[in-house]
Amino acid sequence: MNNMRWVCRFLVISVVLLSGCSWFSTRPSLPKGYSIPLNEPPSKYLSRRVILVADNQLHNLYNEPVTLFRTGVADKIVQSAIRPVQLDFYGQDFLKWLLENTRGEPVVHLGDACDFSCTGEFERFSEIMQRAKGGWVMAPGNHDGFFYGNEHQDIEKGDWPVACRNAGEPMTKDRLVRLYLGALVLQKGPEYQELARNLGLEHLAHANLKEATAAILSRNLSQGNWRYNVGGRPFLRSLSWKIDEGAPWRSFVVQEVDLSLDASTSVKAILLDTAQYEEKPILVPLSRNAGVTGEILGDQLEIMKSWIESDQNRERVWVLIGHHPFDDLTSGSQRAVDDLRKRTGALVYVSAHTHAGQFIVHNGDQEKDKWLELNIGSILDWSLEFRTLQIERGKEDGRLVLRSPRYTMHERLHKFMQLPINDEIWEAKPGDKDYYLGHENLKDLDAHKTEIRLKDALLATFHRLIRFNPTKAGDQDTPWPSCCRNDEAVLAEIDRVVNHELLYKKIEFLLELDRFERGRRVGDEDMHQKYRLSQAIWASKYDSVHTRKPLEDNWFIIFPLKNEKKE
Amino acid sequence: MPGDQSDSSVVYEAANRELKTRKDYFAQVDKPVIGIEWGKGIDVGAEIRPGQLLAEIVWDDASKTPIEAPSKCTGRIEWKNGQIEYEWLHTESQVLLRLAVRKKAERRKRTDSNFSIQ
Repeated sequence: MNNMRWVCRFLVISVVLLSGCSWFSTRPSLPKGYSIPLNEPPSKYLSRRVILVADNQLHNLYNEPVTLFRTGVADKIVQSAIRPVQLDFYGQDFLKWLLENTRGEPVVHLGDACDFSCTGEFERFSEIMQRAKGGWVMAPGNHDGFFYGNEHQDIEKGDWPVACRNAGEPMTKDRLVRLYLGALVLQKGPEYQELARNLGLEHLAHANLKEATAAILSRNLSQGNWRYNVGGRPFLRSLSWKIDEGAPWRSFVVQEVDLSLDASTSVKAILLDTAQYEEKPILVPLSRNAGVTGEILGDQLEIMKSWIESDQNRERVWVLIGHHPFDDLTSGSQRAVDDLRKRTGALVYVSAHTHAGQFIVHNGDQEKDKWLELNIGSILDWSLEFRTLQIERGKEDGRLVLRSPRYTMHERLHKFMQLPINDEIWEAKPGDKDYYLGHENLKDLDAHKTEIRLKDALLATFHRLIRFNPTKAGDQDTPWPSCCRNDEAVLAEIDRVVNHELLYKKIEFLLELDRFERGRRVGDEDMHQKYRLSQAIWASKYDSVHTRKPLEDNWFIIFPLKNEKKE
Repeated sequence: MPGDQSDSSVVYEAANRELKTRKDYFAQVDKPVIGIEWGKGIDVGAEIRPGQLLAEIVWDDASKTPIEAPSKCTGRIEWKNGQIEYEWLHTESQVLLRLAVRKKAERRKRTDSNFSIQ
């Protein structure tokens, strides 16, 4: 009996020790030399300010059924497998608003611009990014070149082309690099025009995205190095790429951007491509899944090293930027980033991918070598985060200062536009056909049924949108759906198509509605913008907690009347 | 001129003793503000007076624009904003600093000294 008691004790202690190893491992803390003041210290400004934005995940809403990934069961396992259709439909308005309402700071996008990874998704994304008056660059993410952010699949048959139906073609990594080069040469700054000349694409200066895409896809651009040496103060300083059509996952684009405010101190950032793989990424095993693991190959690293070595400035500050967090990189890539960090003395590694931004302290080789990672949250998934970044030097002791305020879209939109407004009638409530969390009830493995439900929710979303935002009367340029010539007829057609059994009929009409919404003018443009942004806020907010309830930042809750409660 | 606030980057609101940025000013300048560099000694507890150079606005092209204390902006700094949202100066006016309430004796002393200057 006594022995039995000892055995039990031993087992309990063993289980506690094994399961609770983390109790005994402390998280690294920043050493004494770091200060974390709440107020800006007296400083001299060394860098320009950039906007950091990530993971807007622009999603093709007009796809056909995608087995496994887009089913109720998949959504139970991976939270972002299916987002509310309203978030996919309206959510890109956050990025638009940000670019239209900031002052023209250059933008660094930290990847996952797309969702399924379709060329049409990237084209729409580029169209939005053209609003960045100060120029923009991007470090590719796993959703930019890999199907649903996970793997490289067959592009002729299977899920990828089906997911990209009505949104161009599957965007493999080599295609992403091409399209990105196309998006760069369409920008207005002198460095982008010089890049266009270098690539023999200067005729695209006034082209639209479709023309640029076609031109760039047909050119032989397998490998290249470009550097802006003309003078002036470019944002994009250097660019190198490889386009490997045989092994698309080995393609990469790496960039050096110049953040220096003046000639006194060189402040530069390198945008690493952490979605470059030796082996073809596949869903399982997870170690080879692009969504789980990031990688950087030797050819890319050599280029970065040469840039670092060629910088002769005595006063220089470096920042490293990549999509995958440091801990998600392969061990080899971690060593490589660590080496870059030490060569440059980089102040910080900026990453994204987690959708939940935070600072992370990493252990270095020694106590004094601890270093900081700044992870940027998603601008699509709650809490709709973005940051700015600039480098200063303290006037009192000469220490470098990172200024990186975190902003959230919902707080900005509440402050500047009093959004969301008109809650009682604009917001879709439980029981409504377009309720934001309707997809949470999907529980089966049938991708077709899932898509029918999602398309019906999207039709209902259009119904509400048109009801509250009537089309401007008498506008001759309105791209009406083929069925109709006024809003009432469109609403009636939506009601009819919702009841239609065939998925392709729903998709056909949704495409017409999409064209209609993008091309029509409404009676009150300001209300229209507010309506769209309000929908995106509600969808993102409730999706984050899987239920309709107040969050921590809600001040007021109005209760139902007693007789209303009974209903 | 310290008295003319129409094209100034800041305005002094005597009622609440706050020196505020003017969003209209920043909206009309088509470039981002990188930051505001405060002059030496311009901190909580310092005495300031109209026309005094308080700080410089640093723009994205590294040029600088001085901020001088407007007329009536006189007294001891009670609070200074340590988290100015430079990103949004063109969309909202922000308080840069607040002056302390002047004690009666201090006010009388200043008024007397003003008379003596005149």
